[in-house]
Amino acid sequence: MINLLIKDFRLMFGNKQSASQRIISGIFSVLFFVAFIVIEVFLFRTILKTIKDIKYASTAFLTVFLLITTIFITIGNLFQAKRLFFDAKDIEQLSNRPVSNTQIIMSKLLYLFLIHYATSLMFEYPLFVAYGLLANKMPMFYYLCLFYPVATFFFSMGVALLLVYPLWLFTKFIKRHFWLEMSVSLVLICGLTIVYSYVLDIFIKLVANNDLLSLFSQESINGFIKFQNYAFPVNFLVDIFFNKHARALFPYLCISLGVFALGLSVAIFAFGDVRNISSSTTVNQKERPYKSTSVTTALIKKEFSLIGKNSDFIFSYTGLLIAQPLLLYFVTKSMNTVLGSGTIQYFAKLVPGLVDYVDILLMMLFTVIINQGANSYITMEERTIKNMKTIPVPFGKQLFIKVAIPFGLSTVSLIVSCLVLWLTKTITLQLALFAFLISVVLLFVFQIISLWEELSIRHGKPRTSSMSTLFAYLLPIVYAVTAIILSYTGLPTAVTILGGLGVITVIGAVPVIIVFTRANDLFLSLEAIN
Amino acid sequence: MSVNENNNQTKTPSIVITELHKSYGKKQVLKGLNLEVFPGELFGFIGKNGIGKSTTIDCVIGSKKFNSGTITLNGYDIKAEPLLAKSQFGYVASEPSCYDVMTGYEYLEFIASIYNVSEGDFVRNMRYLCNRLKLDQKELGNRIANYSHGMKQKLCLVGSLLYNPSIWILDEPTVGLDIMAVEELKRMMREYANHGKTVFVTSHNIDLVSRLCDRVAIINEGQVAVLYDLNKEPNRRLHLSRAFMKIYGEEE
Repeated sequence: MINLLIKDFRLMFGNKQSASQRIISGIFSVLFFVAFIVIEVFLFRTILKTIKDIKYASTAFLTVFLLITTIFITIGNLFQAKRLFFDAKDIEQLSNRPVSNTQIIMSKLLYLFLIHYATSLMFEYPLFVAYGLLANKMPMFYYLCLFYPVATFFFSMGVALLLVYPLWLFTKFIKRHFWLEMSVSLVLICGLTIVYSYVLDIFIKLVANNDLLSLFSQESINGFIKFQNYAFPVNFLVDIFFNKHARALFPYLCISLGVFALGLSVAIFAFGDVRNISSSTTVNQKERPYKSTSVTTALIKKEFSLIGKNSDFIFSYTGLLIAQPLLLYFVTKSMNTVLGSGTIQYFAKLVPGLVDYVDILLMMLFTVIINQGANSYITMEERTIKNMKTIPVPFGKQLFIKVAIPFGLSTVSLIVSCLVLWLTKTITLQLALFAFLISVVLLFVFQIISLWEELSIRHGKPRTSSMSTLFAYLLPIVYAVTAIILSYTGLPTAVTILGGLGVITVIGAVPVIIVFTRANDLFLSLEAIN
Repeated sequence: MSVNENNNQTKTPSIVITELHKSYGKKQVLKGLNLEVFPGELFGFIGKNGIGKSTTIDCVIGSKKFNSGTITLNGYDIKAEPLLAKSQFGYVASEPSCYDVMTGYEYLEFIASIYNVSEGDFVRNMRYLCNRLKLDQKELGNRIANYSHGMKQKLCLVGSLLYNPSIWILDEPTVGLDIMAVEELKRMMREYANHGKTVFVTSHNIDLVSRLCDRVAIINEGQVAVLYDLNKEPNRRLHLSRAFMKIYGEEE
């Protein structure tokens, strides 16, 4: 079972990255989590300090905070369980090994427990520490809190296991229907965008008005206190761990263990069922007449097949691309509000044109970050690189089509974003035009460098994307710094922006020229997998 | 046997490899390989693992760069006129290389469009080839990702002949195919050569090569070590595996 557990850890965390890449991505992950926890604890402490004098308010607020983290952790558990129980390759590998279903499921449960414990500890324990320090709790409190993740595991994992099979069936179903998959991704992204805008709104109120109490009126605090009665299972756990009410223990154990047992039964049934399902799915598709198309059309259709039937591409790129105007609108509007209010307004005025520069910078960053999900031009081909190299079509045409599709889609999204920002009077027409122009230049340079990296893949090693990442962030910074420096010379904002555009065009032209001159060689040196 | 077995001297070769050199870093794999393959010929190219068979084929089909030498296909140089050279052959790799995200039908449509196959030819060739290889046409509506290895290989075989190329290059084509499909493929290769086309095949299956091929070359140390005309020397068919072992110093 230990071997199975180690195998699951390797499947989840082992990847083809080199040691240095793993170290860098590890450092970034740690930094991200540390930043997240710092913000979380800061917000929690600030709010708790503000409301500590109101009876029951601290516990009520802690309950709500813990409920939110529990929901997120449960969603995380759900997707972990899906990957773990329904990995086709894993199922295939294990199907012919002398390992029983019980051993497999137990190892997976142990894995899920360890991940749940680590995640809960990482995101919830800092809250307990903050709460304990404010409430002057004894050391025993901090020790007992180490068992909180164990207590939440049964309920959280029970819910995740209950939902994992329906989720698997649902994703399997939508993967067969392109437009349904697209619609679901859109709804999800738009929903997340609206939630994001709501959170952003609260944050802006905090920063711009510097008035936390306006968010926590007596009425809203009463609402929190009432709400905690319904915040199952956290209200029971808070009673057990914080209020030391042992009477909550029995009902919680009954409910959580019941849900867990039910969830486990569903997971065991589903796992057994999926192991026996044949991967072949016959579609009764009528033979449609073949229509001869041009080579270009055939290549475009092929690219769309590769793009459109790749779930990661749809969720991470196409979905975000469609939501980009909405996201940009919320973020730009919020940023303009922050820069135009309170004490920040004073500092913002020290740099002439700063608001305009920041708006363009945001558009550049959004464009390039979203486009990172669509630059696996060659990686997407995998074994079919050989087809690219053997078909009688010029390599330039093939590569052009590969780059042009995401470039075209991103450009359309950029145009819509600019129109939305202009029509909602978030930015002026002139600024919208400049933002579009600079973002398109950045997009082009970024895509060409990504192509370079893709064409440089050798010996089956994964692509190194350090250069494209560097340019993705370097060019926006260079633009901003150039524009800010020029703004001090007294030049009009439009000229300073054009200055920034000029500098990034010159810097970006270097790798673009190199790629254009070496593309033939790089394509021929591209290794076809046998 | 080939209808033109004795006329090679008078024919223009369809595949000409001259002084082919290819190295991976410091490791020299091909050291001046020379070979000519003629129309109407079923040519076997064999050698032990890692000796350079697939590398030679990769150079011939333009999928790998080579250091020096020339390769022409029906007179078109693969380096100088790559598009014309690539239009001459149909190629089947040992591992199926078709797009998993497409359905079988979409894949064949893609191939047909790339090689400009007319609507009539497409339907006729597709039906004929699918029937020959026992590839159920209903399955063509399914995504290739759901196909078995053998079905993918059959689809690639259909794709490689859909546009009726004059040269058919097969790199270990029998891997993953069932016995019936292997037998059918052998018949198809023979028929293809008998129709005046060129079939160039590599295989580890000595039996297949010795029974089927008109000529066979064994590669060793980056060059063609021996070249047998099995029609002129029929006894070689019986002792090909011994000759193979001898070349690699494994003879008992």
